[in-house]
Amino acid sequence: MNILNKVQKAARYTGGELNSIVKDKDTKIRFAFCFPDVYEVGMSHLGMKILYHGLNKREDTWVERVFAPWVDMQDEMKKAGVPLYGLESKDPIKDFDFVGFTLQYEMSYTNILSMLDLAGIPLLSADRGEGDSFVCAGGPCAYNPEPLADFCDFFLIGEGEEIWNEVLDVYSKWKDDGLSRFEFLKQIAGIEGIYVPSFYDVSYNDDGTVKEYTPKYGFVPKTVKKRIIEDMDSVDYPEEMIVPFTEIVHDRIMLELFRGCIRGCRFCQAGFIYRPVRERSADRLCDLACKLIDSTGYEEISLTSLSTSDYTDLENLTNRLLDITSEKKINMALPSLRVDNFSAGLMQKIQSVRKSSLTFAPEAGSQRMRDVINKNVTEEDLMRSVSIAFEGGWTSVKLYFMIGLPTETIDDVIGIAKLSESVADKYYEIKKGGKGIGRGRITTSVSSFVPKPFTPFQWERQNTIPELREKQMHIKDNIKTRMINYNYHESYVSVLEGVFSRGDRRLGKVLLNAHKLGCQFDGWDEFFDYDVWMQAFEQAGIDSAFYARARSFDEVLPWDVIDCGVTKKFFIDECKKAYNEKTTPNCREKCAGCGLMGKCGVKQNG
Amino acid sequence: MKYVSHLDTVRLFGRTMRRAGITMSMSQGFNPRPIMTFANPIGIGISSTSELALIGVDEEISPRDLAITLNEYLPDGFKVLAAKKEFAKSPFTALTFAQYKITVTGDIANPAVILDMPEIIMPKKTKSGVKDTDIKPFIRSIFIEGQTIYATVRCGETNLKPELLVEAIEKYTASHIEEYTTERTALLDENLKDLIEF
Repeated sequence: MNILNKVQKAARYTGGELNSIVKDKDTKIRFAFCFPDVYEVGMSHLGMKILYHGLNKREDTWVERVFAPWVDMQDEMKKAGVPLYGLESKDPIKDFDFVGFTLQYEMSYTNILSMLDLAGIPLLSADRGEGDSFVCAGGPCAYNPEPLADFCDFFLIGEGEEIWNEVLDVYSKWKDDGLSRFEFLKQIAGIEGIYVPSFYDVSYNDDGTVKEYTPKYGFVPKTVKKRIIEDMDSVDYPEEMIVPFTEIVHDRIMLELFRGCIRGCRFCQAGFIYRPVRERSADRLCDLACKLIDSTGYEEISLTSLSTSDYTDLENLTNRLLDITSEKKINMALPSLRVDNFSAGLMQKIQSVRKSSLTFAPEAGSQRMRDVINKNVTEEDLMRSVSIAFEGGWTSVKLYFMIGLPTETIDDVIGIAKLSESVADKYYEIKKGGKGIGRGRITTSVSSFVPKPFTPFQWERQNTIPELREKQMHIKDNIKTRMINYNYHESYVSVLEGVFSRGDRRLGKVLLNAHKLGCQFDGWDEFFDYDVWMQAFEQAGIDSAFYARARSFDEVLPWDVIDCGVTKKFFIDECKKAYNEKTTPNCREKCAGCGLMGKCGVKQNG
Repeated sequence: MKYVSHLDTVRLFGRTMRRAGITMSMSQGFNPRPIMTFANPIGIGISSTSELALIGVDEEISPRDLAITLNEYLPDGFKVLAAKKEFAKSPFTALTFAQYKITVTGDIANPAVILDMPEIIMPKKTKSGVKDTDIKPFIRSIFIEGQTIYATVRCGETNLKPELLVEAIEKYTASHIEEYTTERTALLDENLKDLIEF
């Protein structure tokens, strides 16, 4: 029977898209690359594209894609007895060698459990036996793997291109030798970047904090070092990308300019875990762009990185790319621009084919607060950038802010409203008497700060829901202009995200309870249910507030078992500087001594 | 491919043409889209071996070369059967009937008996909402072979969706249809001549 006739957007579940890879079912290693969210979200993820095309170059391995089926499809699959399958082969993933999840956001964790459930794979690592798939995970959230320690056989810390090849080489030989599960985990535990949670004992102090991590065996490293790719030009990058039939969130070519970020904003986990900065050359990028345009037929190409305008050779690169894209009538999108180096020339390049929307992220409303978070942009920078935009014909800009930041006062919060008002004033000043002045729109989006591991703010107390609500209302009360569209969200999700981002392995119980209570798609408003989550905590005898508290610098953190390359001393120094409202120059101005010197290719100016 | 929507199919052809290096005519405006019109876009879940579309091409290329090139680049499941030059703005006015092959599971009585009814009243979607309509005039012919129904029904300006036909069969005959799959097999003019010329 065909269950696809009964579900919405069935094209999510069919496979067969352009550039998808079908191999012989007898391929030695079968690998389910799982993204714990729906197809449209997961297919937009660059990491999956890189690993999918990279690892499928191996003759002995077939990587397939798996996404979280939407609830209607889950129901139909359960009714018809269809287990979760790989999109390429339609084979059940419980028969695969590896079931690997990418961890992009904490609120996708319950989807991992519902996917394992749907696949018929034992949820707990301890319940899996010989012949079961190895369940593993990587991605940014794997830097604190502990909340998922009960469910994953191993984690991959850092960038996946090289480490996966090493793991697959070991696996191939292990499979030939017919050894035990334990033996495989033992063998890969020696690979830099592999963390096997069951190989560590964790003890706790009376106050509930972690006492220590003890490796159970001599072959287990005390801390697990992250993996990085050193040469971005020689590492594989896909020359083909799957072109979905149905529209996905980022339905375009993604060209990755560089990894890492020179900035060091103190709230930003990506800014630290992806260090050091490593760029691809303009030559390599232009070559990739041509190949990707030819192989996909996409009508848009997006230059991706954490901060596109910090690419050293941006002028040359964008000029050359524009020659390619304008001839082929392809739109070039430049996301992640900063307000301190946004220029009229750059703006013209974005609009030369089609006008994309403009987003700026001052992050905080007052200069004091921006100094605390080390954003290193000023109000003048922002005003200059929006002036260029308004003069260049743009009528709407988006502004991103955060509330709940360390040391924040009510003045800092009201500053968000004031800064938005100033942008509105600038709009009227520039467009005065002009046609269509009424079309102006400023979107002020305010999210709630979540303290993340491996940032200078990893020890900070997270604001409570009532505190955040009060701040949200203050902003609302201080916005007067109708031109400003103020967006904010109830902060329940942020608070829960904070719990799991800094959680320990005792939270595994909570996740399991939440799964049994029906939690999934927690990143989706229509499914997230805070009360059910609180029930899951209660059943586990765990107080969620414990994880929102401030920590002292000498407390053992659950993620101390991971070494992200940046030293703890650096994070402590940065945190103290934040309290003193002192900024740190970006890596190009002056090396801040984060601990990655030697691996870092950033050249200081002058 | 039967789960690819009409809009997705248009986008797919746009990307295919770009990969093939054929310049398409684009619509004007903020979001230029390839110019492509289907004679009668097919519903999601229905497969088809007979679709008719007008594609705007912005360069000199023979219909034969266009078909060959497109087939080289189209993903599996899509195929251009034939191409010809067409300059009329709305070349699909001749479309009058479509032929469907509906394969069913379950008990099926001879569906042709519904044509003996004085009228076949079904809730039909119209521009002004769902209305009880006599669909008998929309059915040109219908017969069954084993578990497969072959039907020729109105298509185009007046249109009968195969789903509604199946519902009518269930309502007016002693059939109990469990599941069915539908394939469109031909687009025809008023004289039942195939609109696709090979």
